[in-house]
Amino acid sequence: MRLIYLFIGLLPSFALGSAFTQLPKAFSVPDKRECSERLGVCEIRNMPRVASQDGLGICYACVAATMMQTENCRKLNIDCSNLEKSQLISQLDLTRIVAPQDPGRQAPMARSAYKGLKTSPDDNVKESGGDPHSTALIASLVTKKVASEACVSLDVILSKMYDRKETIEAQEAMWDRMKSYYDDYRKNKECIACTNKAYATAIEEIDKNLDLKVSKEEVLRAFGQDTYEKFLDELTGANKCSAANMVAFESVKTVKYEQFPDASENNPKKLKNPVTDEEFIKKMRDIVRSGRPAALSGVCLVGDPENCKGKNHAVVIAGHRKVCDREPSDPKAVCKDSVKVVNCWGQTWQNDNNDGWVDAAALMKQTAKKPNILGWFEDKK
Amino acid sequence: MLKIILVISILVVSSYGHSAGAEFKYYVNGQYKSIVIVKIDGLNFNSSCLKETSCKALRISRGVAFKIHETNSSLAGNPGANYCWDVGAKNRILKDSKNNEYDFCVFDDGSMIDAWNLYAKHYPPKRIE
Repeated sequence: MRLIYLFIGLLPSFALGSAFTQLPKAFSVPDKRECSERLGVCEIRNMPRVASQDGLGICYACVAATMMQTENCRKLNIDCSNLEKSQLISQLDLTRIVAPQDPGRQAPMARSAYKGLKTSPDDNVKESGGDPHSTALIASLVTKKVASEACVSLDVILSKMYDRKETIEAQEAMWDRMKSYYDDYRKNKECIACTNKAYATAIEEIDKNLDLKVSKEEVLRAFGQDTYEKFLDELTGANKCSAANMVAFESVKTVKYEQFPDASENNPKKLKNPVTDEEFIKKMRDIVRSGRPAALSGVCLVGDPENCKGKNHAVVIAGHRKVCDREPSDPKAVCKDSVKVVNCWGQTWQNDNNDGWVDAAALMKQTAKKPNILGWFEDKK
Repeated sequence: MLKIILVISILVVSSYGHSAGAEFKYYVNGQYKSIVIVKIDGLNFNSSCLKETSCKALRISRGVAFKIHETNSSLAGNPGANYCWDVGAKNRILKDSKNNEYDFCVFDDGSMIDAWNLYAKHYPPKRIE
C-alpha cells in the first residue's frame, strides 16, 4: 500500500536560532589586538565531545556535564576529545540534580537531595528542566561524583522510545512510576505480597528503561531508604554504578563556582545593578581568557527573552574573538564580538554553524538579563 | 562478510561522486551496532540509502517541509531531533569514534538521515550576507 504523506501547505519558515546568528561574511578579519597570547586564551580547545540532549529539555544537565568534563580534563591534563565512556560524565545522571527553587534554602548537602525533573516544589506541577549552574555546583562540589556514560547513557534510554509523547514525557513518567512504587511500598510495608509486587515491578521498570542490571536484594535495599530521593539514588544513580564507572570531579578541593551578575540583596530575582550586553560579552571574554569556559543560561530561542514564552535554553561559551570588516587599524573598520557556543544539539549543528562561532550581540539580545546567568569554575584563592 | 560488502558499496558509491562513508555506533536492540554514514545530495544518510531506490529518508528529504509540532514545554529540546517525529521517524543518537553525538531520524524502513541536515534542508537558516 502506498504511503500518503500529508503536507501542510506552504508553511512559514520557523525563525529558530536568532540567538545563534552568524556574523555577515564581510566580518572575516580577526582583530589580533583582542586575541593574543599576551591577553590570554581566545578559545578553549580542549573541550569534550559534543553531546545531544535529544528532544528533551535537559540542556541544563548537558551544559553542567560539559563544564565539569572540561574542568576534569584541565585538571588531569588529558585529551578531552578522546575519552572512554567510563570517563565521560553522564548528562542523564545530572538531570536528577536540581536545586530547590527557594533561593533562601541552603544547597543540599547530599546527592540524594535532588528533585528529579520537576522544578516546582508543588508535586502536582510537572515541568522538566533545571538550572545548569546549580546542577554543576551541586554535582561537582557537593556530590563530587557522577555516573559515567558507561553506566547511564541517554542513547540507550532513547533506543527504547517509540513516539514523541513517550520521549518527551518518558523520563518524568518513569520517575513518577518509581515514586508510586516506592510510596506503595512504604505505605504497605506490613503487607508482604504488596511489597513483593512493588519491588518486582520496579525491577522490571528499571531493566526496561535504564538497562541496568539490578538484583532483588539491591532493589530491597533501595526500598529501605527513608526518602524517595535516596531510594532513587540507591536504585539507579551513583550507588548503582560500579566505582570504575563513576566519574569524580577532580578539582573539588581547588575550585569554586562563580556566577555573574549579582542579585539584589532584597530580591534574588532582580539584578543588583543593571548590566549591559557589552558588559556581559566582556565578562565572557574575560572568563575565556582565563582559560575556562562559561555556562550561559536564560537564552531565549524565540521571542522576548525577558518574558520567554518560547524556548529557554542554556549553552557553553568556549571562545571569544573580535572580527572586523577590514584591517582593524583602518579608521573605517567596524569590528564585532563573536563567541564560540558549544551547543547540546549534536556535532552536526556545530559543523553547520561555523563550529559554534556566533554574533555575540545577537546572542545577548536573546538572553534574559537576570542574576547569575553566567557561571564558571575558578581557582580558589 | 557484511563489512566487505559495505566497503565495496562505499567504493562503488565513491566512484559515482558520493562521499565515502564514516563509521558510527548506533545503540539498538540492547547493543551497539556499526552504521556507515554516507553523503547523498550533500546530506548524511546511512549506507542502506545507496542501494534502496525507495529509501524513505531520501524521499522525505527531497520533499516539502513538514509542519513543526510545538510542545507546551517552555524548555527547548534539540529542534533537529524533534523534527524527526514530525516527519514520521524516530530520533536516535549515533556516535562517532570519539563519542561525538549526532541526531539521526530513523524511519520504519531502516533508512536514516542526519536530523540537522533534514531540518536545515526543509527550514533553511537565514544567512546574513
